[in-house]
Amino acid sequence: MIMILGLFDIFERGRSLEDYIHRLQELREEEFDILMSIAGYYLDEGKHEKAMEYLEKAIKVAVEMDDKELEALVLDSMGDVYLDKREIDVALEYFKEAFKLYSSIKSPHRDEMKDKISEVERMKEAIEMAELRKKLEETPKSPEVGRFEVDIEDILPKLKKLVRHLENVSLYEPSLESTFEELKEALNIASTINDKMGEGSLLILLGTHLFENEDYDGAFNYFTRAKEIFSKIEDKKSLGTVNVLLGLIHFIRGDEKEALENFKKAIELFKGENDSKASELTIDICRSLYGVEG
Amino acid sequence: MFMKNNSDITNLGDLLGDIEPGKIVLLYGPPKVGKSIFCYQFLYSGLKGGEPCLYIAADYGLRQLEQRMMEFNWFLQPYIQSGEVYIIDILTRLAGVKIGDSNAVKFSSVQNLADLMVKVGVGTRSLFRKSSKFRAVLDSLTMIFAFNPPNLVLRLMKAYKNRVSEANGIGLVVHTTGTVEPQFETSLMELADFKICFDGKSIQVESSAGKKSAQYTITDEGIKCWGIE
Amino acid sequence: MIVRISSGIPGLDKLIGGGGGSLAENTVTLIYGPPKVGKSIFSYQFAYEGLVNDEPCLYVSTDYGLKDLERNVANFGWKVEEYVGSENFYLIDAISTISGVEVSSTLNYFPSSVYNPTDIMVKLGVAIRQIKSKSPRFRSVLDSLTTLMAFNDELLVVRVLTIYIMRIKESGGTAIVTYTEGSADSKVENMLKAIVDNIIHLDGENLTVEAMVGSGKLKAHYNITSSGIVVD
Repeated sequence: MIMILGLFDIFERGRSLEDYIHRLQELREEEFDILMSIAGYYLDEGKHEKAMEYLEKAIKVAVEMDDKELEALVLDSMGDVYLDKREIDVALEYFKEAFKLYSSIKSPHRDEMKDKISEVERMKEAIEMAELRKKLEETPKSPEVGRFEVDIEDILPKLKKLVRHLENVSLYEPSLESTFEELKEALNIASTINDKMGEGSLLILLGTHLFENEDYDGAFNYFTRAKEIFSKIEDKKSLGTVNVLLGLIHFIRGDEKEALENFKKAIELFKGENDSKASELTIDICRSLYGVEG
Repeated sequence: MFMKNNSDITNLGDLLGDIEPGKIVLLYGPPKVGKSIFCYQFLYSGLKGGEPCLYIAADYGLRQLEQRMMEFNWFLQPYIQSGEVYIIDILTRLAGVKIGDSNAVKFSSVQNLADLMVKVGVGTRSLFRKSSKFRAVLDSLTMIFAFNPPNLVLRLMKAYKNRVSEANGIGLVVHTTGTVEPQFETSLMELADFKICFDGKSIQVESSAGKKSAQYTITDEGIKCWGIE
Repeated sequence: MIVRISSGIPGLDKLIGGGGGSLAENTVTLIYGPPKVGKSIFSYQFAYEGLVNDEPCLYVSTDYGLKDLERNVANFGWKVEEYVGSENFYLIDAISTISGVEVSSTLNYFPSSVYNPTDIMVKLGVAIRQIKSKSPRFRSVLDSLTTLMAFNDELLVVRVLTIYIMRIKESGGTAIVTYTEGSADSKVENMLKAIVDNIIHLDGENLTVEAMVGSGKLKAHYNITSSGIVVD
């Protein structure tokens, strides 16, 4: 009986404490909901700072409640605010933090978050391309005809990276360091056996060789021949790469219009092939050329 | 044109009769039945009989050609020296060997048919100056087909035919059966004035004058045939 | 006068040349037939016969990488160090890189790729130059055309073979090339037969010499033993 009473006692007292805790929990949840609603309201209005202010408050509540699920939700919403501000890199940081939290508690929201991140990454790429295109088009025409200042030392490693990114060229990886004469011999074999892929790839390598030695006319010649071949066999990735290389020489020669056409064409081709790595490398090269800040 | 009393060419003269100058002879059959040996024989008997010859080496390079002819004791070198044979070698360059042309030996490329035709023109003109009649051998179309689109090869053959008949030569062209689509083989047949088929056992000859056939065998003196019908 | 070299196949030299060698020197022989009748084994024996007589061998392998070759050779009781490990054994390995094996080239080992016929031909040129500086005669094996055709246009492989043949013959080499019967278009198969000098067919029971410079058609029974192919 004592045992029972005792238990009953504890239960009675416990229930009232539970009740308080429970009520506190309810209040906090309500506060959290209200803070989130206010933030959402401000976000809809485009008042990003106000929205962030309330989200900061909300995250404190979530931390106090030691509720990882809610904490992740706030981080996700903070990401949305930055996304709305078109600060995609920052937004991605928040989404990734949210993803980590969701993952740590094995939340079902984890997969949703993952999808969101990859979608935003794709969006980021598209926006970058659009912006770059805009900036390229806005770049004022140079009044003087002639060569632009191009930092070859800066461009060269980027260009090589782009060239090596092509699988058909990297097949020649050991040949990349070959002498010019050896590459020419290989080109001769490729054209004799009518190995179009090999021929085009070797033309790119030969052109890159000459480019490195600042023989831009020679390089242009090889790249033009490569372009013909890749157009013929419809190898879009290679064709895109050749467009970048040709664009680069047009740029160096001061023919900015042609350069731009080539870069645009390249980006279009890479996009069609879903080759985001090549797009990225091309954008990087263009940034260096046009002095556009990342 | 085969000399009937020439012991080097046993009975082939009877079989082939007199092929008129300005005509194209298509020699065809499956691989390894003696078509090239027939070419060497045709070349060598012509040279021995005082007829100069244009030889397009398209199955073996010049060095191999000389070596293979020597197996039958047919020596090409004196005729190269005298300029009575004019050789266009379209394969040796594939070996990556750097060699220069001489008066009687020109190097071209199997994948560059335009250059080949230019050299054929030079060759036929130079031989035409030496003699009113000459022989021309193209052995064979197999690798030319492997390196070029078949339509282009047919155009080459038409140009070649014109060139040879303008210069009043007899042109022997070798084709390995079954290496191209049937429609191209039909076109080749239509292009020829005279057809010789080797099948390993018998020779069939077909021209506007009619058909003949014979059994043949390859000896160390070349091709011998018998039982002409 | 036709010089014949020993094939390395017991019984074959007697069948073709009366004992004084069988394959005409400085020619190219096509070894063909259905799968698993001993075409690669024929290649091993041909190469080994040269190596034990101090003749360099240029081996183009599209089916077996260096490690596999070592194992295959050891299975027939040949000493790896006298064979694949010999400095006279030049290997163009067109398969290891594509199966993801880390390899690096040495003086007589050239990694290449079946995807890259141009590169194989470039390496062939390099290897031949080295061999020629050592020896006026050598052997070469290309095993197999079938694999090259699986990765490339068949006619392109015919062109590659043409270059291979010209390079080997102009440099004084004697070669064998293998091909699995029926694996390519019949037009291509006819071309292959037309551009080689000699043709040997294997069917698992009989070896048929369909064409051989300076000799007629021949046929004999053969067995694959623990020491390789033996012709009765």
